[in-house]
Parts: sequence; C-alpha cells; structure tokens
Amino acid sequence: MNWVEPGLYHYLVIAALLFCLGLLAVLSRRNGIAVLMGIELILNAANINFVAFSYYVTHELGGHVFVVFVILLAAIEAAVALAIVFAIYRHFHSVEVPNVNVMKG
Amino acid sequence: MKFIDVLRTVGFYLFALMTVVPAFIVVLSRNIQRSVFALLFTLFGVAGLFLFLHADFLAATQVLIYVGGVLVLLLFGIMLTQKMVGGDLRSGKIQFIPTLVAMVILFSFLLFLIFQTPWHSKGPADFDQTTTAIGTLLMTQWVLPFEIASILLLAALIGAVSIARTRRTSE
Amino acid sequence: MTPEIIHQIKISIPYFVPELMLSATFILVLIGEVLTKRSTYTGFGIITAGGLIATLFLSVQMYKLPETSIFFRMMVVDQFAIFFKIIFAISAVLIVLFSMGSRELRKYSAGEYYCLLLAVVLGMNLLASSTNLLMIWLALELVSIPSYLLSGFLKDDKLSVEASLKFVIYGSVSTAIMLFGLSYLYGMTGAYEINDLRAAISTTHMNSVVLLMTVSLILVGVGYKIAAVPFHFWLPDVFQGSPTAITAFFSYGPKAAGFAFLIRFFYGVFAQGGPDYHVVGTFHWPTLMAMIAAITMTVGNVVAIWQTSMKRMLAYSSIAHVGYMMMGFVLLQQQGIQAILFYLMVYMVMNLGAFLVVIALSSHMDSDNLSQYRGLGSRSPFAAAILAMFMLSLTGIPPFAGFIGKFYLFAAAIHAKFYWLVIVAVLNSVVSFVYYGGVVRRMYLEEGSREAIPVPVLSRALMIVLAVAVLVMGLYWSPFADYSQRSAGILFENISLAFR
Repeated sequence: MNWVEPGLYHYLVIAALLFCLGLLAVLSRRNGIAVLMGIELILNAANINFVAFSYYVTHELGGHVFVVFVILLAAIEAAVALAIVFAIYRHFHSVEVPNVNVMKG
Repeated sequence: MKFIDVLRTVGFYLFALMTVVPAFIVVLSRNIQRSVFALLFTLFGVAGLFLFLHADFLAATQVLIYVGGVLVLLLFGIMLTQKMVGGDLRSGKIQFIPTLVAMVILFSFLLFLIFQTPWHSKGPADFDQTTTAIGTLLMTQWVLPFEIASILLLAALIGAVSIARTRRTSE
Repeated sequence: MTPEIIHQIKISIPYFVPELMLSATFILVLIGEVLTKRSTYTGFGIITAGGLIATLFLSVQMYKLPETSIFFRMMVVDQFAIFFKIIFAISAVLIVLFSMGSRELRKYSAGEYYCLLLAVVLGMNLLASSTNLLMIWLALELVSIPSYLLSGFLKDDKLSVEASLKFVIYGSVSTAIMLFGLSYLYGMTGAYEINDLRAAISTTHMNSVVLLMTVSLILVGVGYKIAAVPFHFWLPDVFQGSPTAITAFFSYGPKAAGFAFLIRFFYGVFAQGGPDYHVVGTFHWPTLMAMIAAITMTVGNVVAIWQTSMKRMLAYSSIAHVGYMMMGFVLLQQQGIQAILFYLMVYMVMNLGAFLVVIALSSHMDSDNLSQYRGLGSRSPFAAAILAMFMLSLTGIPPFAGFIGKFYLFAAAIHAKFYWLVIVAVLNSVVSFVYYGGVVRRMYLEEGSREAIPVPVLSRALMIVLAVAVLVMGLYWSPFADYSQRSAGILFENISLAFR
C-alpha cells in the first residue's frame, strides 16, 4: 500500500506514541500537574484510536460517542484533580509529589 | 495524484507533527509553563487529526472543552501554585533513564502489535456531518450513559467545590 | 424519535428503579443541603439511609421481573446483578450509620458527603449490571471520582488531602490506561457490548498477542480498583488518610464492584470452548491469575505484620483478602465464582464489623496507633470482645464465618487442581494470625490506660447485629451458600443459552 498517504496505521502509530509519552510523563515527572498532563496525553491517544477505528474499520459512530464521553470525563477529572491540588497546596505549599509524603510504609 | 490529495497529505503530516512534537516537550521540559503551552499545541493537533477523520463534531468539542476548558484549568492551577519553577529532575533522573528505556520498549511492542493485527479496515468511511447523527445517538441508543454522565458531573462539581473552597464559618 | 426507541426506553424503566431511587435520594439530599442552614450528619444520614433501604427493597423486587437487558443492551438485570445491588445497598447503609457516629467528619458539610457517597453507590450498581464497554467505563469513573473527593473530605487534615492526591493521580492513570485497552478492543472487534465481543472473538481470526495486550491493559484498570498486586500501592496511604468511615467503605464497596465487573467481563467475553480462557491465546491465564492471587495475599499478609497503624493494618488486610478472593477466579468455573460471591457476603460483615468497632472507639483514642488498643479488654470489654471475634473471623478460624468463606475458596482452587495455591493460602492464613492475633493480644494481655471507654448504645446494637451475622454465617451457612450459587449460576446459563 501507499505509505505516504495517511491511512489507519498512521493514526494508530501517532496514538501509540502519545500513549507512551503520556505514560512516561506519569511515571517520571514529580510535579503533580505534569502527571495530569501525561494523563491527558494518554486519553487523547485513546481518542485518536477510537476515531480512527470508527473511520476505517467500523464505519459507524459508536467510537465518536465514546470520544464525547472521554472528553467529558477528562474535563471532570482535571477539575477534580485540580481541586485536590489546591487543597494540597494550602497545606504543603508544594505540589511536587515526593514532598507530599507524610505517610510512609 | 491530484493536487487536493497532495494538499491533504501534507496537511495531515503537519497536524501529525503538531501533535507529536509538542508532546515530547510536554514530557521532557523542565519548565512547567512550557509544558502546558506545548500541550496546547498537541490538543489542537489532535483536533486537526479529528478533522481529517471526518469527525467534525469531535474536533469542535475537542477545541471547546479540551483546549478551552482543561487547558485553561491547568494554566490556572499552575499560576495559582506558583512555587513550581519546574522541579529539577535531579533526584528524578535516576529513575528517568530506565523508565525511558521501558517506554521505548513498550512503544516498539505497540508498533509490532499495530502492524501485526488484521484490522479489517474497510477503507475510509463516508460520514456526512456527524453532529446530527451523534446527537440522535446520544438521545436514543446511548441515552443511559448520557444521563449517568450528568449525575457524575453534578457529583464531581459538588465535591470539587467542597474541597477547593476555603472553609466558610461553620454553622 | 421512532416508536421502537420510545418503547425500548419505556420498558427499561421498571428495571431501573433501584438506580432511580438512588438518584432521587441524591437529588433530595442535594436540595436539602442547599435549603437548610444547619446540616447534621444524623439528619441527612437518616434521609440517605432511608433512600438506601428503599433502594434495597426495590432491588429485591427486581427478582420478580424476568431478566433481560435494558436500555439498548447497556446493562442487564439478572440475578448476578441483583445480588450485588443488594449487598451494595446493605453495605452503604452500614457506612451511613458509621458516618453518623464519626467525630472527625463533624466539621464538614454533611449533605455534600452523602451526595458523593450516593453517587459512588450508584456507580457500583451500574458497574455490576453493565454490559457495554462505555457504560462499564463510565460506571467505573462514577465509582472512582466521588471516591477521590470523599477520601480528601477532611480538607483541614494533611493526611486526608495527601491521600486524595495520591488516589486521584493513580486512579486517573489506571482508568486512562484501561481506556486505551478498550480502544483496541473496539478496533479489533467493532463491538462494544459483551455478547457482541464474545461473538466477534470466537468467529474472527483474532491475533492472540493483541488480545493479550488489550486484556492486560484492561486488567491494569481493574487491578488498580481491587488493589491487586502490583497495583496496590495507593491503598495503604488512601486508607490511612481518609476519614475512617470512608476507609471502611473503600475496603469493601469498590472492590466488590470491581470483582463484579471482572467476573462479568471475563466470563461474558472469554468463557467459551472450555474454562481455561484458552481463547485468549496460548498464554496460560489460569497460572497468571493464580500467581497474582498468591502474590497479592502474601504481600498483604506479610506487610500487615509490620504496621503500627490500625487503619494501615486493615488496609493490607484487605489486600490480602482480595488475594484470597482471586483464588476463585483462577478458572472460569461456577464453583469459583460461587466461592467469591459467598466470600463477599462474609467479608462484608466481618470487615465492616471490625471497622465499626474501630470507629466507635476512635473518639476516645488519641491516635490510630495500635498501641492505643492495649488493655482494651478491661477498658471496654464489650467492644473488645466483639473486635476479637471479628479479628478471629478474618483470620479464618472456626466457628466464625471467615472460616467457611475461605473453605469455599480453597475448595474451588482444589477443584481447579491448583494445589500449590491452596497451600500458599493456608500458610497465609496462619501468617495472618500474627497480626490479627496481635490486636487480640494487645487488648487482653497488655496494660493500657485505665479509663473506661463508653460505647454508645446504637453502636453496641449494630455491633451485636454484625457479630450475630458472623456467627450465623459460620454455623448455618447453607442458605447463604445456596444464594450465592444461584446468583453465580445465572451467568453460566446465559452463556450456554447463547451457544444454542
């Protein structure tokens, strides 16, 4: 097949790349907000998958509906996570996860 | 190839780059403000990719909610917790390299999976504007998730406000 | 909107009444919170408990209806689902009662607390019933997100806020990873409903490596929720920091819901051509499940020994019990599932009972440290005796219910010919006696302060109820065993019907 013209595989590769980058951010960044950004990357990767599959494989809009809800939930999770981050910041004056570690064991 | 196809291909690669390159910056940059702005570009890039996949409603939703909502929220978070001068990765760096290696391995594995699977691709779909169709689906087949999502929104709203606000004087 | 669609929605509603009742209670509490100036945990608690009891009643009514899938095959209301609805409602009522007696929550708004709790219960109900991937994922988020907020509800307490930060970060990551797996599943099969998935996987030539990867990603999400190793790291911190009533809730509700989803998903999608998941490639899944079970229970039990905080000890204890329950999951067989369901009933009573005593005593203790329990035998003989009983039941000593529960799980593992797993589990139970027994030892054999701890009458009554339940289930367990068998059996009838 012609590899230059965009096809299903191109989208899947982009999504896989975003997934790995997001996971890398989650695992290696210390800043809570950076981890949140990594989560958004993972969710976007899943979204690209859904829409690409909708377009090339299933030819129906179920994937699109999924994405609507994922975007919705991403917004909700971001709001909740940031609310908690504010609460944290009031106490600890830092959002670096290693600094926020009173509990051990 | 016709000119329109060339244009389409070039456009796709532009948006693909706009999605992927800033993603690297998001992950690797030490400056958190730079990370957030890079994320902005990634999210726009994804919206562009949605357009190439004939997902017009989703592209608009992505821009409105992800960029207009989530990103703004992240910016507020960063501005209001200003002590972050993008932590130095010094003690993090020890864990960084193995994680990076693990992610490279994972990515190769995913690539292998992607190219190995018979995806039963039927070729490009023929979607008209999707907004009406999605709207109908949300009210008919997918009505239950739609309603449950509204309860989730309400609960999250209540809880988030409850946790984030400074305590009013108790009754 | 065509007539068929309206019709489909209309006939679905009667099956949805328990959830509607939960939503109505949610809204009622919310409106009450907005309108009243003084919100008390008792007042709103009674409303919430009332709503939950109504939900329980309605759930039982569901048995009269023929089972069917509703709302365009988003969810199904069968005996398996109703079983979970009932235990969720009962455990939620208990948690509400715990919350009413909890001192640490007093400063904070009651209405919001109960709203969040109701939202989680609604999510749990949906998770046990759902058959559509989006609905499952949404239900999982409905269980998780209010939980993040509940765990940080004591916002003036550093530990609570820290717990919720860790919870929200790890939780969001795991649901995101699970979503990525779901996206591949959608792409491979074009389906998002469990029956369709099963059909697609059996008929199409499926690359087993991809299926393995997809299922692994999904397992990451669920494994986090039930806190199986290696996804258990969030649990001890979240348990320690959260308000104790919420810790009690987390120790049971979401885990049970996670198991409900796990069972329905795996049995629904993969149970064909034999009980050993063989359709998911040549990878030997039963062994993987058995190893996860063994590692989880061992980590839980061994680390619990070192704990000095009661809540953390109970956290690791709950990890261990999840490990025991996973023994029932090793093979796709009815006996294993029945054992899990039975254990869920037993575990609810003894685990929540232990938490009840902890909460009742906590108002008079300076800290959560285990040393506070010294000499409890003389300070508060009634509570100490009850707590001792729950501790022994958790260890698995007859004649308490915990013994019977473990017995069924062991029997299921033996039936699956995983003898090494049973030996590991027995050893683990012996090891668990070190820390459960440690509590008993502190209470009776060590000296603490002299002052007596009064236990309120209502708490006493509740303790008696739970203690009696533990004894009854330990001595006269057949009705419960039959009940769990009938609830589990329905899954298998469906599958064999589908193949006819």
